[in-house]
Amino acid sequence: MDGPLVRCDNVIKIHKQGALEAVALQGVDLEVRPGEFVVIVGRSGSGKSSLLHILGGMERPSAGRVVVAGTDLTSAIGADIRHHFRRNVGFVWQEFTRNLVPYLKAVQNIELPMLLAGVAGERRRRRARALLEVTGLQNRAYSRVNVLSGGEQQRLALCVALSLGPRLLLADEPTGELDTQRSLQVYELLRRLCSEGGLTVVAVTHDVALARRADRVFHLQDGKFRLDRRVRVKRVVDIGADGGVHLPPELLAEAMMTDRANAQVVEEGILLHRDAGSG
Amino acid sequence: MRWVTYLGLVLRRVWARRGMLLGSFLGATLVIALLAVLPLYEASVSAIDLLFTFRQAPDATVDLNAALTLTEYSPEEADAGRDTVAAASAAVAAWYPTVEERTVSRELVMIPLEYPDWLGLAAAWREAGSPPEEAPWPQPPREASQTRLFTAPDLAAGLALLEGGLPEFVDPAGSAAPILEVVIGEELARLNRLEIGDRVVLRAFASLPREFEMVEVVGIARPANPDAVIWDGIDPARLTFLTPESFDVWTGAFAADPEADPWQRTERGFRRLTATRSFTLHLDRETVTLEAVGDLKQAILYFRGQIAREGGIILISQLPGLIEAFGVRTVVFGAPILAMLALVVAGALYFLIYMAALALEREAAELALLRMRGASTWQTIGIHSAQSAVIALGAAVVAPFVARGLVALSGRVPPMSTLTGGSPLSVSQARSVVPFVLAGGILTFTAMGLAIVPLARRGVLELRALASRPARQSVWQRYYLDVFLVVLAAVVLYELRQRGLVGGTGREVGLDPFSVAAPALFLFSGALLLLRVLPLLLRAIGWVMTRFRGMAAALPGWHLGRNPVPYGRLALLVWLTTGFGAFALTYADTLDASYHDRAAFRSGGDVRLVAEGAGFLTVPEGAVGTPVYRTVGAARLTSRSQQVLAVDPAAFVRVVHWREDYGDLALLGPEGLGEAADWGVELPPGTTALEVEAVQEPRTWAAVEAGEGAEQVRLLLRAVDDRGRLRTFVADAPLDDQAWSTVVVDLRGTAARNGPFSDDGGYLVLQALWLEREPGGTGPAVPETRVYLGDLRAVTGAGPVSVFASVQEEFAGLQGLEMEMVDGEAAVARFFAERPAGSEAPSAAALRDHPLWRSGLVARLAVPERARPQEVPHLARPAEPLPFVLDAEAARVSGLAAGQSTLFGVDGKQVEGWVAGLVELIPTAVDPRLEGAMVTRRDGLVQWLSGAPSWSISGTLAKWTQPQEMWLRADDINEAAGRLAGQLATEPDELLTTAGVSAEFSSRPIQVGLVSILFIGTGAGVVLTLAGVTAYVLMAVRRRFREMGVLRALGLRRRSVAATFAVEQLVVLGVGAIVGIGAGVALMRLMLPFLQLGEGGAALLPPALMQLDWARLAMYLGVVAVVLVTAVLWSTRNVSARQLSEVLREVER
Repeated sequence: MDGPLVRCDNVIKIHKQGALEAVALQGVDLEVRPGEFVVIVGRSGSGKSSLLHILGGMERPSAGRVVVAGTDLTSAIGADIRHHFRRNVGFVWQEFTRNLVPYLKAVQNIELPMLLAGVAGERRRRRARALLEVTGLQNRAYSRVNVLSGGEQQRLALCVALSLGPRLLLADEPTGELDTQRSLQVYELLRRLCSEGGLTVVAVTHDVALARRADRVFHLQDGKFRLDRRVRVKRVVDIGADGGVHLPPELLAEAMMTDRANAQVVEEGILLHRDAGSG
Repeated sequence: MRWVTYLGLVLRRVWARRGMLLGSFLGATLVIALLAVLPLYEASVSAIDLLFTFRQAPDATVDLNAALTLTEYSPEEADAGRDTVAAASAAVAAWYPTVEERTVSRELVMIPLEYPDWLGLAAAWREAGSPPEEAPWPQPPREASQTRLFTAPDLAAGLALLEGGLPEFVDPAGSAAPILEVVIGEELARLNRLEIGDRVVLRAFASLPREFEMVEVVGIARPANPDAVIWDGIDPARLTFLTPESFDVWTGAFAADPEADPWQRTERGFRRLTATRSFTLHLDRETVTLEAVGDLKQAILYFRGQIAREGGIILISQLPGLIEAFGVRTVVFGAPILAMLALVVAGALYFLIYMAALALEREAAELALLRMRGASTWQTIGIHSAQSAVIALGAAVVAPFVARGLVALSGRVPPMSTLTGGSPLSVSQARSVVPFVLAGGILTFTAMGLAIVPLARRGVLELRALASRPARQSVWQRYYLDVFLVVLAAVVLYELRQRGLVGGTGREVGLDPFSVAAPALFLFSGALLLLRVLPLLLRAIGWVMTRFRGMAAALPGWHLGRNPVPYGRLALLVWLTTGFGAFALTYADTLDASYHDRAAFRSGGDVRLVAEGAGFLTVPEGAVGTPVYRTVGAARLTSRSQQVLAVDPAAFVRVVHWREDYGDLALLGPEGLGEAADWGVELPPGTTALEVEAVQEPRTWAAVEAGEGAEQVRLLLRAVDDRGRLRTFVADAPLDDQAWSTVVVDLRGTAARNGPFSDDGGYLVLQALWLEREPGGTGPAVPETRVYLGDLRAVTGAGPVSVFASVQEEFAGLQGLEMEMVDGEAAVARFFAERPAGSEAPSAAALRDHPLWRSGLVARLAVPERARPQEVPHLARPAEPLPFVLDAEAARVSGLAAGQSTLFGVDGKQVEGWVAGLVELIPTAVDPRLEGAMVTRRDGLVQWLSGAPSWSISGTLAKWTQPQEMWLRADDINEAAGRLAGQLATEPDELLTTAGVSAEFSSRPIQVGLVSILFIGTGAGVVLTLAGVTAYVLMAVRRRFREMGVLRALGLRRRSVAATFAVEQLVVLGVGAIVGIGAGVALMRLMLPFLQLGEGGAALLPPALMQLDWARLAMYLGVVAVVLVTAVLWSTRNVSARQLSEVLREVER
């Protein structure tokens, strides 16, 4: 597929609770290409989880249009949503209990979505073994969930989320309950799955370390993306001793910059943006 | 293969949630077990009841008596009947293995040979050569005894000879003058002073004068076993026994030698003798089982049909009636048992649904996970249903054993243990339990499985929200289904009230299925309605609690006010338990009180003894007694009869058991029924005799001279003693007609014609005077005559006292007797009215000296000639109109109101009376054939019914109206009853005590079973609630760890946190318990009309009144409270046990 895997056009979400109405998203536009690792950051109540729920098909937007892997979630009905769950998306949540069925063994947890989707037994087992191997949990296949460490549980949650081979992985604070060491393991895994497996990842996090590893980071504030923080392509560049910076041509092309740019010092560093007169 | 994986998943799920699902399993097991208990318990209790019914019933009730009555006995027909019975009895042989045969004739008169000398008369007649039609055939005397010929195949075994030997068969053909040998019963021998070797004539009532036989007594016997089946219904002491061969030959005609017969008969034998050959099939009680009782009834009906069709034999058996009554009782008492079980099942079902809902709340997060992993609605439902099926299946496997255990256990628990002796109840199974277990399995599966349906369609986020926030309104409330159900329950209850608990046509009584469902429906719909109301109540309570300063009250108050719905469900569980418990207790108390009331109503007083003359027995010391005469009458002489009780008002009100709702008891006392009736002339104390100066109207002088005879008459009188007994006395000599004379009537108790009576110093009242011809025999009882009374003097220790003036004042001539005061010279004037020819009229001096002369006024009684069947012309005080108190039914039937005067028909006589008052019910009036009851004075009624004396100079006195009942009120009922009955020479007809009758009611196994099931249900309810409350509190504790952590972090001590939590739960439980008690009592009030049904399917008399024993209810509430408080405290122990560091970690999460 050449087009974006995820496309949100002017998505608005209003939560109603009795007479009260709270606007969670106020016209969000988003496009994510296949294989991208996108991170959405923002403060509590900024609308991160709402956006993730909408992309996951768990909530319907109040207005706007959302298309994920060709499924228009704005008008999806029960069967479409089920298909969306089974074929398009996989979920990893912060709390282990939301990811795994506690009374099943590791391999059974991985097999469960496939069982529900009607995958044959041999295929289920093969796929489960493969996923365990990828995540380095092959020795823990027949362990119960409660004896796994936090990192192992989260890796296992990844296995479960990926068991049906979804094209999009939605992760809500996937490292929220992990220490730094285990968080890094999970990041590496996600990164690897994106670059090698062609998986698209949209993660919601507060974790700066994770955001750094993303292809793009979106800052959500009061239900809207902050435009100045919208990162489309990211590269590491060297700063010369004289303060000169060499920007790769593809980066300039992406930013549609030619010969001039305005430099502005912001909180995190120096921000370059197109000069009004530049091309 | 995939299914196996699914199953594995389900099993793992069940195992992982075993703690929570254990509650569901317990509930499901109980529901199925209680459903399985339905047939088992009903059958087991019915089986015991059947056993009791058959064991207690006398032989005459359970045995089959096939009777072939032949108006002219013939051995061939009788033997054919035996063959028919033998062939037909194969149908009932399984229950009736033995057949007893006997042949009994109709009554024969026994004519003594000595007086007159019939053999001598016959010999004289033969010598005179008179024609045969003038033969002196033996005629029965007035005092002739009756007997019946009796024979049986094993006669010798049935008799115990007192004298002589057994009779031999005497072949009439073997002798010219054969004499039948017989053995007679001891009473017959005593009455006729017969000894061995005596001969006596027996003649059938329907036979011709010449058809008689002279028999010879060869033995005197009594039955070897008076209770043996062959004596059933007859008195062996008055029978004449002969061998079967003799019976067959001698009851037919055979040729006789006229020369050898004193009456020159050519043919002899008891001809035209009606005899009955009976075949008694004796029931082996051990063979009667509940399963076979229907077959037994059918077999009896078949047997009856066969013998009637083929042999014209009638079957006399009360067994079908007994079985029918048993069936009715089973239905009547089975209905409440089933209703109670339905209530328990409904309660258990609610518990099950409650537990399923709790379990689902815990599963909500997992359901969200499954949905997120791609599970469809049907897959979610399937997994949950499979889990429910596993639980239901497990419960269905275990439940039959639990059911059998419960039934068996009920035998060890009072009150059933009083019947079983503490051993387990023997479990009977009349119907298969499989359908009930299946139904229970499906019911529990549905109850548990249905809860998933609304959840399965919910989105992931909704399910997640549910896991942290319990549901609000249920589907029942959202669509007002609870209100609809309440309306439906009200309609069903109204319908039931109209139709009654048990319906049916004719004699077949059937159970209305509505009646079983109604209480459960009411309780369930009420519970659902409460689910709507309770949260509001709890919110209000919560608001009040927040007004308190202390944290322990305010915090629970906030919680209750914030989301009261789940608390409402918890309160409802407690509501159901305490509701059922209160209902059960009230029901049991009401039933108990009703048994007592019914017993008191049936027995009247503490003791009621019914026997001939029982009303005159001496009241035991320490007791209060009253004689009662019971008969049948009709107010306003209608054809609709009422029970009539004639009582002594003053004593009656002290003895009778009366309930306030019967009416005003004072109406039955002297206030309503008046003071004692005036019988006549009260004789001075210590009167031992009455001297009567009188003369019969003399024949005239001319008649005397002509030799005309005079009809002699004798004076009789009747006096009433202080107990109301009528004593009849006869003067010591006939009245003279030629001179004034004094006859003496001995008034001592020993001299009474109908005595003897003991003289205990009580007073006597002269009730009637009359005359009778002397001697008796044929002809008029009294000739037309006149009698002059000069004086009547009571003989006392202090000398004679004249009562003549009182007699003239009080008495009137009745039944044609006329009394007038005439000059004392009337008798002598009558004598000289016709003088012999040629005689001179006497001078005045001669008249004065004549023995027939008397100065002053005398009473002249003009006595009309009367035959014996006519009433006796007599002097007495006329009876006065009687007061009657009517019960509501009698008043309704007769249309009489208080104060109205009318004629009452009592014992076939007309009695003038008026309605002194109306009451609702009159104790002991339980005869369903009568329409209502009336009470009146006994002495007054006796005056009306037996005021006229009977002809009695030589014959048997006619019986007069005597009270056949004695009612007692005593402290020691059994002792009083024993001492009263001990005064009787024979067994009383009936001896009732309140305690005995009450025990008879309450010890009926089926009644006991009803109470037992109430207690089992109550126990089960408490266990279920305990489990439910524990599960709820444990779950609530788990759900609110975080909140507790916050409270701890805020500085609350562990115990304070636990206390706030416990207070919150206890307030909810308290509300549920108190409301439950009210609901149970309300349910009982609604169910009360359905309790008004007796064992026979008829309305209870008196109606049951609801009994509320607050002390017992409080005690029950206390027990439940202790159980629940313990459960709450145990469940909240985790709260106080947790360290601050642990709870703070919860807060951080």
